[in-house]
Amino acid sequence: MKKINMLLITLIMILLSSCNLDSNQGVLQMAYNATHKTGYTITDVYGTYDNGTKVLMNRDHDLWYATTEGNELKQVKVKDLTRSMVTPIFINESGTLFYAYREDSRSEFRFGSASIEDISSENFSFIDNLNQEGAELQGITKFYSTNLNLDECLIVYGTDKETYYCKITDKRTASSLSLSGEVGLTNLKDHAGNAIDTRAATIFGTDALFVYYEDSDLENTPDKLAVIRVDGTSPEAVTLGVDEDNIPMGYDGGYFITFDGDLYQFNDQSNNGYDRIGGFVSDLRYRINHRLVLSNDDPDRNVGFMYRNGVYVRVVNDNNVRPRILSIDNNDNDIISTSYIGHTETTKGEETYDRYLYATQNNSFIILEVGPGTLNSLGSNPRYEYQVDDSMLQQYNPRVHGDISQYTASSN
Amino acid sequence: MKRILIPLMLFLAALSGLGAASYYDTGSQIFTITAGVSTPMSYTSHGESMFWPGSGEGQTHHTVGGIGALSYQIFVTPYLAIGGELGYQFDFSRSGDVSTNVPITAKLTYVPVQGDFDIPISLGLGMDYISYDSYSKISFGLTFEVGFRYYFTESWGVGINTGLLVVPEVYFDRAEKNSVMTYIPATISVTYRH
Repeated sequence: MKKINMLLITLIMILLSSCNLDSNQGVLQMAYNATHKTGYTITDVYGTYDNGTKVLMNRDHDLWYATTEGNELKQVKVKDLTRSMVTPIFINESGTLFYAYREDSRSEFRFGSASIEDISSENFSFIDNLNQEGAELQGITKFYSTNLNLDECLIVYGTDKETYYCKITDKRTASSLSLSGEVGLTNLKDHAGNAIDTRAATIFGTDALFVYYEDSDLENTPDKLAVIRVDGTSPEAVTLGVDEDNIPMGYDGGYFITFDGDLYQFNDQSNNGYDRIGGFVSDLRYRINHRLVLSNDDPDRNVGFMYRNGVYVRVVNDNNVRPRILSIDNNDNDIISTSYIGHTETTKGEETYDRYLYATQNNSFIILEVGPGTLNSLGSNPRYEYQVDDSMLQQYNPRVHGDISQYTASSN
Repeated sequence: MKRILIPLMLFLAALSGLGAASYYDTGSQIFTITAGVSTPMSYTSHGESMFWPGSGEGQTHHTVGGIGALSYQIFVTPYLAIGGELGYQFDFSRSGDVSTNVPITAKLTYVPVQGDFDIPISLGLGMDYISYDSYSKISFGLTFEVGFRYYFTESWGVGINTGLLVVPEVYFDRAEKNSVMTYIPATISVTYRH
């Protein structure tokens, strides 16, 4: 009997030790800090209208707006987009929605604009001639857009042969949709000088475009990664073995990608190479999945990146300062993606805090509170020191955090 | 502490007296299957404690859940049995995701009253596999249980049990992650003795 017991215990120990059973993450805390799931998914925020009182967004693939009524957050469905060929791009502050539209009978996109009321009643109008310079864009078969914040979005569009992208920087006041095709991607080459297929283009950052393709002809051949700047420079692609699951994130001063659980940094001096950021890679169990807009109006601003288990803040324009992971213990572990809505300031005692409002998957709206920001002089590289505590990430509650319009009115 | 221990020992001695002659011999064996509900009693982290099931402020953010266990023990004296227990406990967090414990413990049981009726008092110490969502951790597990069993045949008995499951999640290098969760199980059991 003793031998059997010993055998059983040994077997259990071998089984346990052979599995990766320890995530080293504070399991009980995760369970305690989990918040109520809303049961729906917000994937994009298109902008605000009605004096910033309404936030237009894509919720469960339908068009909704969110607004505050008294102490409650109310969400109202505008249009069912499930069977529609309408792809919203952005809304201006007057309430005009710009959209792409693909009819069943056509393989090409058309573009249009309409008021929210007209969209609801499917009273579409089209503006096929989009170019400010008068050149008509036709035959657009691919189209992607990403709303970077309330006033900027990036659009990739093109034919099967050509791909363009442009950045709309004034969408709040935009009176027309202008796809001017700032940079053509047709001449993009990989490191071997071969043309890159841009069918799978993904936008990230404010000034960069991420492109990758899979070499389906050769198994085990790493995919190629290329980064193109809005200023027109088209560096060679980098062979990185990019996994489709990895999400690149960037900002004006550099960009990052997660790969094999590590974080890679591309610095802005050399787009041809990449550096693995050390120091905190072991903490990066989950991929970075959202670029947070922090202090966006400051030239030496910090940029935050949210990943599944926290936030880290990067000092822009200061590559000597290593990014820091600011782990948030009470972070809800279901934050998968977020859309920036706006930010405002709040005062606690004598200190000023920035409050950033985001729409998130599964958890409706969250507040990321950052502060107090104290400016420290580090030679010519001033930076903010952000102090983070457990309460900085909270479920948005109008009663506690104020009306939604106070975020949208002052945000950028 | 003496104020508690002395009456407890007197109480147990009294119970032993009730049982009169011992039923079990050294080498007797007991298999037990238990199942029932678990009530989260407390959650402690960063020096703060929350109590009882519920999603509100000051509560543990766990629901009432289920608990079960398999145990095997062998008597080393007529009143003292040692063995092991494999348990499983689950409940739900506020997000609706399931939270589980798998305690694997060495179990020491004192049976002051034995015969047609048993009153086993057990202490278990071992490890606990905690998991929630995609997070998991092997930590320590501590169980305390008191039961009442009725044997309707020479070998088969049924019983009711309650006690405490203590789950300290300990990080030696990251003290800020340390937490302790406690549960009160209320179970029924089926026992086979030989």
